[in-house]
This record gives sequence, C-alpha cells and structure tokens, in this order.
Amino acid sequence: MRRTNVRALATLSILVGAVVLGRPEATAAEEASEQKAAASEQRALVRKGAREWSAYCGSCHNARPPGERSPAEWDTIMLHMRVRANLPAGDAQALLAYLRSR
Amino acid sequence: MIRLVMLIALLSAFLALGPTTVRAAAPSSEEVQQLRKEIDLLRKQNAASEARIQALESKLTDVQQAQEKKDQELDAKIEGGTRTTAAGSVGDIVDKWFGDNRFIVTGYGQGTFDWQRNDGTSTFGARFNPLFLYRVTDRVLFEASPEIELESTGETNVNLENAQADIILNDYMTFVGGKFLLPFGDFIEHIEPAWINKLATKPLPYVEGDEGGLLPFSDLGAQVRGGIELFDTEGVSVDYTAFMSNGPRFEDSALGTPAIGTPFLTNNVDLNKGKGFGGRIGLYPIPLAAEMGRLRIGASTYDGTWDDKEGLWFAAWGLDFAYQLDELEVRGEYLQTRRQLLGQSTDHRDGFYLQAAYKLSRLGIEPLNKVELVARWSGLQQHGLAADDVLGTEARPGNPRELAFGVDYWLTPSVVGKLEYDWEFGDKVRNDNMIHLMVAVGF
Repeated sequence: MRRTNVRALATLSILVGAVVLGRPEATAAEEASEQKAAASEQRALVRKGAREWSAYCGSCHNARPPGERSPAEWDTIMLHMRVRANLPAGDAQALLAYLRSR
Repeated sequence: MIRLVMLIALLSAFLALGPTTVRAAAPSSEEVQQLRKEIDLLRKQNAASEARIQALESKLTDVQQAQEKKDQELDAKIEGGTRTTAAGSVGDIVDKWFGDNRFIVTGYGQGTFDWQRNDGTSTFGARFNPLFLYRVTDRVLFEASPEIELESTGETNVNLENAQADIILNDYMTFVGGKFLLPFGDFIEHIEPAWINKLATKPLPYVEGDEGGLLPFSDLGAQVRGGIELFDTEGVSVDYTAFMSNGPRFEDSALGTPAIGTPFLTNNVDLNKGKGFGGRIGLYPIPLAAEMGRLRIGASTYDGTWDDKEGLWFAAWGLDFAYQLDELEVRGEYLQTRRQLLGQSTDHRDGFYLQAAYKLSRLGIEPLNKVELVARWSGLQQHGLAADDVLGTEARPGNPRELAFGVDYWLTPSVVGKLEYDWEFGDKVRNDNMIHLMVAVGF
C-alpha cells in the first residue's frame, strides 16, 4: 500500500513537472508564431495601402508623398480623410499603414 | 486415369505457354537501336529538366532571400515609424505643446490676379483657409476651418467654413455634429480647396450660394456617414451621407417679399422650426485589380422649408461623376433647385459642369512634366430670371454658359501655379472675357 502511494506521488510529480516546464516553451513558440503572423498581416496591410494610395487619394487631389508628414501626423490627417472621403474602414487602415511605413 | 490426367495437364501447359512463346520472339536489331535512341533521348531530357529545376530552385532561393530582406526592412520601418520630415519642423514644436501630433494645422492659401473685360477690373487678391485638426482619440476628431478673405470693400472677411466633431461609431458609420460643408455633389466636399480645384475659378452652379450659386456651401446640424467595401473586392465600395440641419435660408426669408434669384444667407440660427435634411450616396464600381481607373458616381439631395412660417419649400437634387485613369481626369455634375414662392411661380434653376484635365508627365520633357491642361464647360439655367429681377443682388441674370481653359504648373503635389482664360456667353447674357492667375499652396 505504501509502495503504491509512492508510485502515485512520483507519477503525479512528473506530470506536474511536465506541465509546468513544458508550458513556457509552448507559450514562447506560440508567441513567436503569433508575432510572425502579425508581422505578415501588417506587411500585407502596407502593401494594400501602397496599391490604393495613388488611386484613392488621387481621385480628388494629387496623392501627397508619405514622407511629407510624420507617422503621428498621418494618424490625425487620415482620421480626417477617412471622414471627409467616406473611406471604408479597411482601406483607411491600409492607407494609414502605408503612409506610416515610409 | 493417370494417363488421362497427364494428357489434360500437357494440353493445359501447351495452351498456357504457347502464346507466350510466340510473343517472346527476339526483337530485331533495328528495334533495339530505336529503343536505345529513345532511351538516350529520355536521359538527355531528364538531365535538362534536372538542370532547369536546379536553376529554378536557385532563383527561388534568391527571391525568397530578397523578399525576406524586404520584409525585414518593412518590419523595421513599421516598428520604428521612421520620421522623415526635417527635425525642428513646426510639427515638432507643436508636438512639444500638444503631444504626439494630435493637433495639426493644415489647409491652404492662395494669391490671385483677376482681369475682367466688362467690369474693367484688374486686381490682386488673397485668401487663407487654415484647417485645424485635433485628434482626441483614434475614433474622435475635432476639425475647424476659418476662411479669411479680402473683400473688394477693403475689409477682411472672416467666415467659419466648418467646425465639427467627428466620432467614428463603427467600421461603417461616423457621426458628425457642428457646422459642416454641405454633403451635396462632388465639388463642395471634394474639390473646392484652391490647391485641389484645377482651375482658379469655380464652375457657374458652384459659385457660393451667397454669391449667386445654386447651393449654400455649409450648414449646421448633424450627419451620419461612412463607406462600405462591396463583394470583398478591393476598390469596389459604396459611401453614404445622411444629414439633418438648420436648412436653407435666403436673404428675403424674413422680409415677406421673396423674389426670384435671391441669394442664400447662412442659417446660423434657424429661422423656423422646420429642419433641412438631405443625403448623398456614391458608388465606386471598378475593382482596383482591373486597372481600368477609378470611377465614382453619386446622387445627392437637399431639402427644407426656407421661410419663417415653414410653409414654403426649397428642394435640390443632383447627379455627379468623377473618373480618373493615370494622367487623365474627367468629372461632371448636374443639379437642379426649386424654391416655392408665395403668389409667384417657383424659382426653378439648374446647372451643370463638365471638366477634363490631362497631366503631361508622360512626355518626359522636364519643364512640361509638371504641366496639366484643363478645360471646363459650365452653365446655368435660371428659369424666369431676367436681368431686372436681379438688380441689387449677386445672382447672374439669364442663362450663362462659360468655357474655361487652364494651364497648371505643379511645383509639388500641393503647390500649383494656374493660368486661366474664361469666355462667358449665353442667352440674355453679355459676352465677357476673363483672365485669372493664381498661386495656391496646400500645406
């Protein structure tokens, strides 16, 4: 009976150890994967903005070069343009991502 | 019995092996040669395919490495949000006070020279339209734009063009409250600023309402607006605006003696309890991937009671389009207004313009690269409006038509020098010629 208890305790300890030690490794891998996916998504957004920049901005006025303003200034200007030009949310985000990335 | 079984076995073996023996006849030496040739050819083809695969694999590795490098550069830029404007700029100074460029002064200014044959005028002028933007959060913006203009009387006229709060409610709807540009047609909201308008003058129907145009340029009230992508297709979308406002007001609204052709007056304090309302819907039907340019078609309306007793209606509707493909831009509008008059026929007016512009940037000749040629045809029909009706008002008599030709020189995408020649003519209109020079700076 005593030997059985010792075995059960040892098994439980190993299981707990595996869970405790294994978890950070899994989380780190997941985090790295999530970061990679987020970076890829962001790059796709920038590329979408680059495609739209000339056509969307240029349909009313000459498209202003991204380097004209700082990223924080573009945040404010694009909020204004989203409202004035009735831009769909996804397009406004893509244009902002492109303008901020240059 | 045993003999019979052996006989059957022999017969079976003969039947089974017989045809094989016939098929297994030795191939001729010619066939062998032919087969060897085919094998050699296949070997050569295989070797060529392997070489090609290796070359493609090598190219793929190069492309992957280049892509990875670009991705890393893009990541670095996204991460850093590299500031590319000069250090110590106005933005930096404002930054110190307001933080993170939430507050921005943008807008435009213009200097003009106008010559008009009939009036005998030849004068310089100036106008300044700053636009103040304050981003409260990523979903809330306050914007205001005073218009500062020199009057012919020698005074400086300051007019609050718009002052509004924009609140993004969700991906599809934004609430706007305050004084806003009238969301009617294409010209007022999109291309009126001097650095955007490709000509120095406005088309005849879009002279401002208080100067004899068909509509006021702004109104006070609230609106909801937004844009929605359609069919999950980049470039294909619909946008909308719906608003309620103080509504239209004319110079004779409170006088009791309304007249045809009376100009608008800003309805800062509503003269009646009835509200104005209207809206606009725009459609972008061409997918970006089709590379066939960008087309917008729109329809608008603006209605409301205009007299102090709320009994008389003003109603306007319009259609507009704008198309842009590379260096070419074509746009146009048609609009119609009707104002009920007590004891008189309705004041019915309509107008249009069609404008085409072409950038010469493809010529590759340095000074001409920055030149854009513009032509515009615009007109007004003012039914029942004779010259005698407009004495003492800003309204133009008759049914004028105007041809305008312009040459623009773009120093930068937002700094332009314009030279424009106008020829005005039409029914009950005295022919006139005008020349306009303008330098406009968007900042």
